[in-house]
Amino acid sequence: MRSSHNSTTINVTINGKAESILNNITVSELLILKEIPQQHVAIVVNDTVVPRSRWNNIVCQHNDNINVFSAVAGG
Amino acid sequence: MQRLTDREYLLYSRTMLLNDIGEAGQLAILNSSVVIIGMGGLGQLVAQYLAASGVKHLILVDHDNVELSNLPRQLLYVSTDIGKNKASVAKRTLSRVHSDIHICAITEPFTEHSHPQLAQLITHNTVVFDCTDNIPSRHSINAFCVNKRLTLVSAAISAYQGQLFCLDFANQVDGVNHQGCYQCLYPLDTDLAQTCSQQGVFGPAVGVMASMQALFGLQHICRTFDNYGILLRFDALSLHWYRAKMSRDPLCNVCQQPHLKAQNDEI
Repeated sequence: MRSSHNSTTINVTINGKAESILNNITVSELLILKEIPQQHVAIVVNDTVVPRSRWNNIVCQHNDNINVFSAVAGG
Repeated sequence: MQRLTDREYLLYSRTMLLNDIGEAGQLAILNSSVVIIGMGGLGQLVAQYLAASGVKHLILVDHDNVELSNLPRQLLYVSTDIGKNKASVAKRTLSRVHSDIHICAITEPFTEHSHPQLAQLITHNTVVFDCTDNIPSRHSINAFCVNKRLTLVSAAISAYQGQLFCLDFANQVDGVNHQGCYQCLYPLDTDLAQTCSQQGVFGPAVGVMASMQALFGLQHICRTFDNYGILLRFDALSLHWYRAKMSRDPLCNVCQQPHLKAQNDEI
């Protein structure tokens, strides 16, 4: 849910680490800022996987808990 | 099979002591059938656990041969197996250890071309274990399970990172798939930062993921499993487990609901 947070940054947790990020950025933009190649990862926001087709539409929210799962395929 | 023999009562007594398993659960295991695709680090251990637990019908799929570098983590194989096909060696060894077991070894790569052949060998409740080592095979297995409405137990590991999930495409809430499929999680254009052979892996870490995969499958067979659509990530360095609820990609063309697919095809 979009909060009414008006400051230029919001506080989120990324892979267990508290961070301040720009307000009003999408998951896609966050990955670009973090230099994480989109084809290499799955993204989990607040314990739910967000499908890659939605990354351009989902705006990061204050207090979001974001986890980056690197794709693995070895067996 | 509807009754256990005296020997089976003794053999599987520890499993049956579990209140929610009992004789009915053990019979379900004995009457189950599974497909294990990929007989490397994950598949060889999944196969051993399932066979030892009482699964009597196994289809093992792998086109690779045993290599020297496999032996530290692929404990089903020994040095005299080097150069031999993994599925064939596994069939021979497991058949020698377990009585009344029926194993079919498929020694060709699993691709879309394999689907008709495999479809003829399975039943509607065959459980599929994805133990492969590459993304194209994982997509092919996923599509097969979605189309045949099977249960998929998938695990993967590279370096210190393992991932695992179970999706039941036969039984979905209100007939709707809310949890998605492998392609919803990792779309077709997913690629890996590094492959397993580049990154390396610890044998016991592979064993953890394979054991979890066997545990998921056996619990599903015994109807005691309650974690469908949960993606687990295991960090074998920090030893932390992470959970995430899987969700369907509305644009996924693999697990799209049949009525939606028909509508889109008409457009």
